[in-house]
Amino acid sequence: MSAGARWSRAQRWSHQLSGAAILAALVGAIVMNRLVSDQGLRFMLYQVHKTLGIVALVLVLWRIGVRMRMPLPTPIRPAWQNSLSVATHRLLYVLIFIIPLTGWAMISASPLKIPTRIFGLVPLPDILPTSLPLYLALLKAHAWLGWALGAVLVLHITGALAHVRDGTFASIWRAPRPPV
Amino acid sequence: MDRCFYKALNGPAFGLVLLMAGTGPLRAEPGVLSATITPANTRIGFTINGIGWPQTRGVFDAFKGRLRVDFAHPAKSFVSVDIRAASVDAGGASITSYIKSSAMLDVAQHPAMNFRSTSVRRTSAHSVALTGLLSFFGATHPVTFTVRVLSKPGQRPLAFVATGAIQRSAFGFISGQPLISDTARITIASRGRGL
Ligand code: HEM
Repeated sequence: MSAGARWSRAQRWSHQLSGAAILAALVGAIVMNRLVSDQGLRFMLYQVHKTLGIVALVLVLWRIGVRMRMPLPTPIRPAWQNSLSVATHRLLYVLIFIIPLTGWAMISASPLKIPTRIFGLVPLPDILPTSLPLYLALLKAHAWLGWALGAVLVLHITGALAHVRDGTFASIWRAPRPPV
Repeated sequence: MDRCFYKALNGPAFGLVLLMAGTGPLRAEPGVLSATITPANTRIGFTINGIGWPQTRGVFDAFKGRLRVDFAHPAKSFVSVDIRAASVDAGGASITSYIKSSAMLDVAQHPAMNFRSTSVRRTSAHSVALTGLLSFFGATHPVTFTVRVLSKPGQRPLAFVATGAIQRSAFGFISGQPLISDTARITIASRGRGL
């Protein structure tokens, strides 16, 4: 969306909240899997990651619902950057939808049967039967798609920062100015 | 592990076990060491490998046992230990409760574990092979521990480290396989107080 126009409140909140949950899930995944060696803390962070991921999935569904009901953003310039941003957005929606789904499918198929409780309370049902090969495949897919999301997010954020001056960044970040 | 051991020495389980172990004065025999095994002088730990997760370590915080070491006739020595399965501690509330749950050790169904030695054989000046029956998860199977004596022979306090391994499947404890390895290693380290 170009200078002047601003997204509605639902559009901005669904963007900011789903973005925060996705970033937290992504950064948390790297921390729990690569940086933490204490097994108790690591196990606990896995549980937090699963809750964050499911919260992200709910917010993403909200975001997609809101996004489908709004007019397409007016193109940014130059044209190649507009094509790139359209492609980036499509890819982002695909990734943020299927990553939490693969995560949920993976823990469902896992032979470990570690119970998942959202916020430590609500039990998360399994969406697949226990299967070792399925679990291993989904585990790979989940992690690789996660890294792909990281790369696409770098593009997304770079694009947003490159379009601060023309008002694109503010259009999603801030409430519309009251009419003068 | 060290932190867990520290906890084992200080936690509420300690007092409980001391009470259970308070079996009165031990009969003194020359050349024979009779002692009680408690969390005050012993640490019982395990390690188990897995795929996609670093080695899992844990300790048991509540147990009592008796030890008789006949220095002149090692074969006449014996040891027995009773362990409360629910006292398992893996260094974190959420991982420990998973290990206790019916998905893993199922401590509600199988609350007790025990080991009774059946034979002791000297393998060197500082080591013995200790074989006994381990009851756990509703099954009983022989296990052999390699016991390395760290203190000077015949001298007190006695200090030793016993290591052994079990195949979980032999006990029907196959949870998490094959992601979690079939082999679990057990380490029992004793030193100091009362030994
Ligand atoms: C937007 C949502 C999510 C993102 C961005 C995300 C991202 C990631 C990434 C990048 C990894 C791999 C970390 C690494 O290789 O260092 C990972 C691992 C994991 N994720 Fe997610 N995830 C999300 C949602 C979920 C959900 C909903 C669940 C389950 C309910 C889940 C369960 C897991 C588990 C169990 C692992 C560890 C896999 C292992 O190595 O054993 N994730 N996640």
